[in-house]
Amino acid sequence: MKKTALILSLFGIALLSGTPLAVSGGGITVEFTTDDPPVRPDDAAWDKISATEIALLPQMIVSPRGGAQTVKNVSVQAVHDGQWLSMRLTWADATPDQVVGVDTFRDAIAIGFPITETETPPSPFMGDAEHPVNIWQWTADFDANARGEGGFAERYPHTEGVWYFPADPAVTRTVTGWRGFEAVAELEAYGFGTLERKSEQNVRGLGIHEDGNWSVVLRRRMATGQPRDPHFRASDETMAIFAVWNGEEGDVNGMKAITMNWTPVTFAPTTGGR
Amino acid sequence: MPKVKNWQLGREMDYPFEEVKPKRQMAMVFDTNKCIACQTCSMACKMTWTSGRGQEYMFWNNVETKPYGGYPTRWDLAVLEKIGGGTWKDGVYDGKTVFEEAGNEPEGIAGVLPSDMDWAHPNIGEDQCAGGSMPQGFHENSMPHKHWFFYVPRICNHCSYPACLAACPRGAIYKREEDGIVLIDQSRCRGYRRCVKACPYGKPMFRANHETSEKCVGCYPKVEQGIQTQCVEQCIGKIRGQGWIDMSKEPDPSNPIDYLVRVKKMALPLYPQFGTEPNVYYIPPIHVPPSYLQQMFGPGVEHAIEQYKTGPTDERLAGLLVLFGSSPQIMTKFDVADGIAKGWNDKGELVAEVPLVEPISIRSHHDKKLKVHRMDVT
Repeated sequence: MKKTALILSLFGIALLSGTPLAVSGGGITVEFTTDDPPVRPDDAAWDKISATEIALLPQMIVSPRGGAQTVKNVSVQAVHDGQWLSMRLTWADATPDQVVGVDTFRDAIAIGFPITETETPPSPFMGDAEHPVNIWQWTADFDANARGEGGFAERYPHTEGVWYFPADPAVTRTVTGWRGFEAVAELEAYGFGTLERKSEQNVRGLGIHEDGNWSVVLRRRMATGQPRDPHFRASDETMAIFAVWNGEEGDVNGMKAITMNWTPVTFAPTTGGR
Repeated sequence: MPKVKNWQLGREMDYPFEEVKPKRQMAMVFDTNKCIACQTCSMACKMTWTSGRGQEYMFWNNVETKPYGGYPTRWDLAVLEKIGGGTWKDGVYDGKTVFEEAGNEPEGIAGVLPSDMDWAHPNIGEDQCAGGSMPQGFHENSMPHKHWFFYVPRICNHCSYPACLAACPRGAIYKREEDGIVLIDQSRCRGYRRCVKACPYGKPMFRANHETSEKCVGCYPKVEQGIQTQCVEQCIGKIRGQGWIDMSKEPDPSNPIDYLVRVKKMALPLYPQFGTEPNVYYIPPIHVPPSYLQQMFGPGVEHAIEQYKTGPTDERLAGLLVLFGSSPQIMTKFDVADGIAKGWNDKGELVAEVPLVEPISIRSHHDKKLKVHRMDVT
């Protein structure tokens, strides 16, 4: 209870002091490479990329509150070649939780970018009515399912595979973007509780759990041509927010560890690039 | 948190939203004395709504045996443990509701998330008798019975203050203005299972292969046409009546639901102390010890049983019970006169006309014309 009060009061100070606190110092540098930005989290190329530690706190603003008490930070590496952006997110999580059942929850991580460039940053809590946020959410269950792993079929043998009745809302709502299980869902939000899946899905990802850590790569073209996507260019600056869910702790929805402010993201210039 | 009036508790209570009442509220009365747990309602519902893959263990309508049955397992006891029970004083509940006893729940509602195993035994405890062993030749010859069990058919209560709705962080659950039916918008649901946890009746259910939650839809396409839900229409025991209740108006003795719930006070809400103001009402079983029934249906149990026992001499009451299951249409008005019970629908059309006592004709044991003997002569 004391811990909760402390976090709430810290958050209160952040609110009172206005926008300057909405973007934290430090920041992520998206390094430039002449090689293909890595697709896999275990690519040796990541060893040469600098990492930024991002601090996380339990979400205590809206119901359901709390969550991810064990995840204190996420390590972020990023690289681009002028065409592709690749990010590797690494955080400590003792167990891989890859099956969503009635009472079991999945591990997941999400990164959010502002969709439009504005003078004042959007709310760091999934955006606001005027400033929507583009969110890439990697989920351990979808990643595992995409590779035919994870254990869903063992737990629910009678529902093995995905079987939809053509008129099921689950199909009709996603039919434009549905290509089976994808590890990453691209979403849009303008505040807590407003998340919607986008019809165009451009982000790909892959997660590996090893030695008590999740390591996840998210990869997207710098420019997608989609008007509702943030566009990235070399030498540009943007910012990012993060959220992590630990399935073993029952994290889902608002029960997550989040960043309390935006982290600046700087794209390195394409020196000597292709 | 806003205060709302909960008539079943006899007081105001906390609820996350302001009080908003639908134009009229769908309500039902189930007579537990007549239920034989044939599960025809469960099958009618399942074949209509939950026959898909991923819905194998999903029964929006179920019938469980009390005291030992429960689907999901221990749904009611688990919630009672959380809210700590509570007593009634002069018809007023002085314990905590699921909204008032939130504890450290992340959703702000006292709830329990059942596991796969809890959903895997829809008919656990079937026909298990309370009261210890029965020697051979034993007869129950006093009321209430020393050894007892009874059946409780259950659907979503389409509560006036739904906990599922209050718990959904996405606002994907809504209560319809026109009939008070509570629905999960499947296009908004992201399967967070907050409703599955928050509903004290265990009625929203998670469909793992869709990663969404689903619940009883009150057969709204039928209700919109004035026809009873599948579970009501198909009930072969004729234990169910369906209609409308409006607590903002004075009770109308010609409205079947008003008559049973508000005039006779013979049909009672299920676990009113949860605080959601459920809209399915139960006529309690007359053979079960009242102490158990009071925990389940509130302080009006003994009065309700007394009223039920007047049935044989109360023509109006008996007539209304005879109208249950006598028409597929929702009856909004009834009358009983000269041994005939009549029911009318919303449009004022006569949809049921039933004698209180079936005419009896006794035939001779031997049919001379066909030259056969009859086994049944009535």
